[in-house]
Amino acid sequence: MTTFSVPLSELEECFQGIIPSGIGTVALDGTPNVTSLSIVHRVGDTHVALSRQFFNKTRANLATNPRAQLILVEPGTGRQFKLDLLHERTETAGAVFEAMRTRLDVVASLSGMSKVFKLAAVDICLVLRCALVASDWSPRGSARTAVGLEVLDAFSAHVAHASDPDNLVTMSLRALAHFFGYTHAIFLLASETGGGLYAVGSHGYESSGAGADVRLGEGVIGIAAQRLQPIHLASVARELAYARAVRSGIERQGDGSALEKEIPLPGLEGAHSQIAVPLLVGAQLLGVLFLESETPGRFTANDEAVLNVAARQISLSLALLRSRSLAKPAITADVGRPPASDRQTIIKHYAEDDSVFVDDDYLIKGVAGAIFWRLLSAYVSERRTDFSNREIRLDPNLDLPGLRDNVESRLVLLRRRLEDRCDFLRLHSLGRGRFRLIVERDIALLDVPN
Amino acid sequence: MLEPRARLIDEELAAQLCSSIASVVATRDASLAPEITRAWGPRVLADGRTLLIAVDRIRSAKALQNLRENGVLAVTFVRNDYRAVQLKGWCSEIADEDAEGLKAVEEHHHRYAAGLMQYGVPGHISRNHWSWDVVRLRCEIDAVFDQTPGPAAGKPR
Repeated sequence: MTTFSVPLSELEECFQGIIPSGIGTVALDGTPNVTSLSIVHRVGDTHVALSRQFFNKTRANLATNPRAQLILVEPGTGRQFKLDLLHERTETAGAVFEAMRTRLDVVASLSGMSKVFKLAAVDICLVLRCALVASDWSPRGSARTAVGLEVLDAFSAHVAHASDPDNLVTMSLRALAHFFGYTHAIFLLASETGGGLYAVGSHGYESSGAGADVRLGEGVIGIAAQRLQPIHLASVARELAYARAVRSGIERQGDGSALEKEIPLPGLEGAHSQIAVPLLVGAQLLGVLFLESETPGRFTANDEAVLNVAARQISLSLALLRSRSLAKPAITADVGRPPASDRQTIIKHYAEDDSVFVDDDYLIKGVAGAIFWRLLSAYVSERRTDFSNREIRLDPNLDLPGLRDNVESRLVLLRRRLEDRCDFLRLHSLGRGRFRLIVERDIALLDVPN
Repeated sequence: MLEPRARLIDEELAAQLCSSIASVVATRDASLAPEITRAWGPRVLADGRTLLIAVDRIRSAKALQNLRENGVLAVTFVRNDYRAVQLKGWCSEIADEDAEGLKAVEEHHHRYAAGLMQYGVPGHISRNHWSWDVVRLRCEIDAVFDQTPGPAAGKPR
């Protein structure tokens, strides 16, 4: 017989793990045991799943006496709920296990413990009773208003007006902030070689971060990209504190050889909530949207659903804009005017990694660096300023096998890096797959061969 | 003459208990059903075996009933860095809390609020967990276990 004075579906916030839960069990000899739990996951309206990593006594007790009691806390209000549980089964695979494993894997990756900090199993428990713990204090917390369909519709209409991939990045980031209040966001595109992602734009930070790399499978962003699924951490600092406690224990036992370095968190210092949503067309990864907040539990189940829809819209727009660009004919080049300034700047290109330096300051490397050098060379030798995406894509000297569909992404990155790092070189979109290189200073090129 | 019991709670452990943020005590009834409740204001007596904690008189009614019937308990103390211990033993007395105990409870309330704030949770919501109408449990400790998450979790300290 189950008794729910509060349905589990109303406790969504409690399952984010922002305030740890306490769990009590009893051994067959009558000795009680109590410990804290890092992850409690709701499974439908009648069950919860408990993460099993280290709590050995809890596991042993549940194997012989299946009764347990749990205290959950709602972080927005502080309301406490007491759940009486009956252990039904242990799972080491399946949807619930995978959902909880992913969350743990992200924390393990961030804390340099991907080889040792793993979910062993999940214990599925029937909830016999769920009751609010009485309090004589009225909480002042209030639930955040859910994003409505009208707002989602407005976002979708806004993003659908993007004219090219670069414009899509800018419009998406602004729209996420304007319509949904996601004030800190980073837009990353997938590397063509499949090894990772690179940032092409951001909103809410001092620097755009364009060009920052994230390796596949590392951290919140890398795991979202690798597993093609959204990743959400509701209390980053607490999860890391938990992981660091585990790490210290491993180090004390002298078994630190399996540990890796901690991965620095991207973006916002003091972020408590982070969510990474893959940008997908079918099963093809185009990139990742990464959002964060200084508020724990900022991203609710409603936010996750909204972001999934927003990400699909952005992905489809990106794919469409890329394919449009592919279909355009080559455009003849325009000839540029001499620069307004008489100061000469040396721009160096190192063939070894296609890195480009402006007056000894690093600007960009890799495919985007090679493209930029190609543009600068054409500008210096022919005074050309106008180019088409297509001619870049088809240029045999650029050696872009397999990367051709993604030239736009590299141009977006190049444009952002120039905006961040250089005040006299710009790429200006002319629409319809064309762009202009604007050079406002006399430049000289120096190619450093391998 | 009986030998004095060996100390189980040394000064370092006592300091850890008294700087902990979250504390939960577990009891059980005759059917071995667990009942847990928050504990506040820990104090360690000079013998290193006796622990005083406070629990809410009303919210802990079932736990108190269990303790009157069989006395067995476990209590865990977790710091904000997740260093944690669990003490097991039995309750030898349930009494009204004294002034010194109430002071320890109040200090623990504020420590608890500060601990939540460290992780971005507004401190005021912790008032939902505070207890003023408390009773004091005198706990005779028989065993201490490391409860810090990791490979040593659950091992005797």
